[in-house]
Amino acid sequence: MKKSIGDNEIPKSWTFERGLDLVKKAGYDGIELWLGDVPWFQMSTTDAQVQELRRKVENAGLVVSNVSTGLHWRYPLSARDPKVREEGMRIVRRQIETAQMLGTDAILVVAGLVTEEVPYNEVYNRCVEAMKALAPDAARAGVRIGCENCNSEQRFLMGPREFALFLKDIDHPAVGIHLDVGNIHEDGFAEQWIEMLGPQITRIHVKDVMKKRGRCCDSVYTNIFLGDNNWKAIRAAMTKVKYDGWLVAEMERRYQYAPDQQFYDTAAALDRLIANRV
Amino acid sequence: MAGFIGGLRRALALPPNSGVPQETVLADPGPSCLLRESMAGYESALSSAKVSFRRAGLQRLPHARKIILPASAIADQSKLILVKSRVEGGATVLLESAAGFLSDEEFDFHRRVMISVFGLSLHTSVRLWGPSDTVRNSPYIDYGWPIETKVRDFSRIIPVACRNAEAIAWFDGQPVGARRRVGKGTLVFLGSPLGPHLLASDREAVDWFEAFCVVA
Repeated sequence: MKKSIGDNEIPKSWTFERGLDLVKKAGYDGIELWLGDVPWFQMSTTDAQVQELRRKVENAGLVVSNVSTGLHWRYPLSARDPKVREEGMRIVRRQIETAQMLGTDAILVVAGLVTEEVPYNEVYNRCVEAMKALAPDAARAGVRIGCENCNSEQRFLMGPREFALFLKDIDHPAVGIHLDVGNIHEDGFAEQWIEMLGPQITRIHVKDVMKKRGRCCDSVYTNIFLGDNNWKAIRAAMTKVKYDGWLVAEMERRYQYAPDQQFYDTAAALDRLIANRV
Repeated sequence: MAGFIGGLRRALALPPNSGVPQETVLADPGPSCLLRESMAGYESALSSAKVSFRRAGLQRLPHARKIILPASAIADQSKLILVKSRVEGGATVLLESAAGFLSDEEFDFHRRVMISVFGLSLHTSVRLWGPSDTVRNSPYIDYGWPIETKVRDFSRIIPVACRNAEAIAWFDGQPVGARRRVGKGTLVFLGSPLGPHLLASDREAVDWFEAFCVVA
């Protein structure tokens, strides 16, 4: 397994190059690039600028693990307004194009958003249709779309069986799950998701979760090994399903002092996880 | 069945069948169909209800007993005049409006055309939900014809003035659906899209549409 961390974790006042230097020094193998979430990688970033990003990543001795985005919270593929949906599709297509340019084979998509306004059944149907339409583009580019489980935030696909049915309805090898082991909260157990969806996992986001806190003012997410995830079981499930891909660290709550230290601490925790010394 | 339908027709004060072909046409408004999923919803509901139908474009809209125009926001006066001629000839036309998804400027134009051709006065569209989930609406449209039922809103509604039409659907007491005799036929206007709910197999939406198919 290899370890990666998102470029959206780089302190806001830092340049991309300085961030890459830190990621490398902290011992990561790769970096996750977040389209639309960082100044250096936007929808308006040209192909030439994307190639330049790749050059900088490789010069730092890293590779791009995957291309993610938070833009679908604003432009959900499940929106009722077809113009919003179209923008959501355009974002995924740009993720696919840039993933190919950046030399990676996976993207993360937040597939749908259930709200009081847009009910579950509509979201489900639109997401399946959107993924069916996007899958051939992804396959042609040699990229897999990983739909992320954002259980409590999306209120969608809350269990592993439900997610499996969703992927079955899409029925395309280019679409799988980008599993976030921190996002399951008290609604299940990450190791069971890994077990049930094993071969369909494109990438794994790694963070810990304080299951009993509930969403209020403080984040429920915390550093690896500090929360309530059963890391022994999660690691064993990875072995069981022969997951040997990227582990991508995603820290929501940042260190308030010495922000670079969080990169080192997280890398060390990932090393322990990979080495199965939990 | 014929007796039941005849009775339902009399009970609902429907016009008797005229000489138009007894078929259903699902008319594709083309670029004026703002929600393609609505078209798919009606197609699916007609198939499930085993109603024989055919598709047609607006350019060559045939005479038919029932004509369904999903998610339309037609601004081309000549096309609406053609639709009106079919109503005048005896058709029941279900005109589902998706005009809430037009820009303000486009909507003003559409509204002028609707009043000019059908004499149907539309109010400015209303967005029922804000950007966050903080608005606490009851998310249902109350239908009163052909059956009483509730179906979810579709985020944007077009309230309609019912001076010369009968209100058939309401949101929060305000008419958003209307039925109006035009010549030998009837125009049924829906100011809140129903088709996407048909696609999502919403039970009450399906019940409403099946009842419409029976009585129209």
